[in-house]
Amino acid sequence: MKIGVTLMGTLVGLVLFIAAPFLMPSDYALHLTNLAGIYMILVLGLNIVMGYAGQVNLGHAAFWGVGAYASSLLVMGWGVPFLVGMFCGAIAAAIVAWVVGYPTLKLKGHYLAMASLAFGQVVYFVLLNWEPVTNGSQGLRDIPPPRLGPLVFASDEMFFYLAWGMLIILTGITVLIRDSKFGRAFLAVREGNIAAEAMGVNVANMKVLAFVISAVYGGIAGSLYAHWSTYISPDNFSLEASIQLLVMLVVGGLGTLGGPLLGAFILTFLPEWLRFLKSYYMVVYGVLLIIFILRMPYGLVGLFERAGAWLRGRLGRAFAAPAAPRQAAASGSTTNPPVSVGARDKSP
Amino acid sequence: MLQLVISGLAMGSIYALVALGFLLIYVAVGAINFAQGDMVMLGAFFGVTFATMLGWPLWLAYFLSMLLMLVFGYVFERVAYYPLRDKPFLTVIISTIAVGIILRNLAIQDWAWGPEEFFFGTLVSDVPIEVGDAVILPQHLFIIGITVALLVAQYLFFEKTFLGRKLQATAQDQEAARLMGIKVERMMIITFVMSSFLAAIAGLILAPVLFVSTNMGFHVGVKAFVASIVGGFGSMAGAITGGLFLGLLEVFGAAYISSAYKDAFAVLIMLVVLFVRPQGFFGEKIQEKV
Repeated sequence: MKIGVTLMGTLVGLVLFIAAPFLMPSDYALHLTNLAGIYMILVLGLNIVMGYAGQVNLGHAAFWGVGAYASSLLVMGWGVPFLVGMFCGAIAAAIVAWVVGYPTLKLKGHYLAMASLAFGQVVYFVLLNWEPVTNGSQGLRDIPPPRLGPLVFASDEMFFYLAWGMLIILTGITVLIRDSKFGRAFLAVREGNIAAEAMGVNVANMKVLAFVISAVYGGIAGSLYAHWSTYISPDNFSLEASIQLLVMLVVGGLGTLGGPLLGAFILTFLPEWLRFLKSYYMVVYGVLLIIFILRMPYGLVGLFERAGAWLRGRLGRAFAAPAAPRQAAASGSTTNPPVSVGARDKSP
Repeated sequence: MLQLVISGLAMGSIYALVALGFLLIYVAVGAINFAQGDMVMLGAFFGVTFATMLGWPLWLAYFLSMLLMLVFGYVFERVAYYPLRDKPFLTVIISTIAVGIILRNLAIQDWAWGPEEFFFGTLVSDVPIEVGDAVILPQHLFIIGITVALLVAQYLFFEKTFLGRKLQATAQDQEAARLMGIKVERMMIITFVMSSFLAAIAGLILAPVLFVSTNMGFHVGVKAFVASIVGGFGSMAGAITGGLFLGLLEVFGAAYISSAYKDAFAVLIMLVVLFVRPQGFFGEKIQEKV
């Protein structure tokens, strides 16, 4: 019975996944969905270092850029297959993270925020000024589309399967990481460096590890993005992009699994939903952001949790009340917000 | 040579002023104000409105735009910081980001200033002074002079006045300050107003050198970030030396190496700082307490 339900769920999910590109209301919606998939991978990665390990990173777009450039240059220059390019992009981002991580992650709190911002700028300027390799502000053009054997992911329909397939795999990996001993060590580091150290967690190594893992996500997203859009320039990966990713994460909910996915998805679409406001849409976007952060400092996930608890409380009362008053009193306990898996964001 | 030193110091002064604006809020609140650069832009645009568009005298334009920016500082604190005062510092960062987005996108509207670049006159002469073979812009000297005067005034304010000391106490420990009878809330408003005032001045004295446009704030903001990181975030000496250092570096790099690589030069320094001394020249090593 249980297995049957799971099987049915998987089947329905699979059918939905295959049908999704054709259910989109417009080509543009599909395009944005693909973009959202890439952002979701990026923010998922950022969440590992910021949400789980509690280390502020204001330069995450740098890994995105490193992955994008490394993968494109390899595929264009040396003609390596896309998968190899993506793999090398992820490795390149990981190496950069490892090299930069050691000195900077020794820093605490706000120094780390600053150092990561500086690091993001460094990568941006390198992409901009290392003209012989990166072609400077002109960027790279005509990057070939992703290819896996006979499959070419050039159209938005095909790319959807690649990007969202990758997203699903990476979401699964995130769950595995979160529940592994490393995931628990990350949480320990977030909740208190010294206490974690006393319990035998190697704090420095764990921070660097979280940073490197987040970079791998960034590198993969970068490679996907580059081969999909066929054109990249340093401006794609500037400070503004890093800020955008940070906003997505905080709006979605730091330190949760659903938060980064939800935040990235909604904030990719939000500007489009506000298009009807013409030239004011970014103003309204900013205002919404302020209202949002005032009303929901724990992100969308926090809001949904509260709404869910409230609903369950109401339902519980509605069912229990006519039957027996004593049970109604007991069901009142469900109105307390559930303890979230990833714990709420403590300011790092 | 002299010419380069002067123009480097002038640009550096601007970076230092903006970095000081960051610093004031950072020390008091513990959050980075991402709207600081856009506040510089706003100050300059107010000046443009009164002087260039309405044709009023420059001194009046200066005065009015500073006044408006004081008001802006107050509103900014009330709207974007006060409701979040006991929330995690990331939420404050996001709200300053949002304020920056709003300012940039309001400024670019047609009824506001639009996407054009504006000219803004200088309070001093615009005839270059020739010293030997060096050509010096009076505005550059003016920038340096104003910055030095502001720094001295700020130092005296923080060290010698009662209000300045109360502000320092608040920055060090809000709880203790409150117990000592300091009105923390009011101190926060003063901090934001001061930082907004610094942004206004930076915008007004920078405007004659650079054209005024909606993007100027973001660029100056990023440069000031870099400067404060190199100097050491959180220290006044760091903000000043970092700013001047970056200004000189840019000008000399552009003159002796190549103007295309002037940013690369700054990056090289930042890399070195990041690896050797990630907390900046003047940043302290903080020992964490249990």
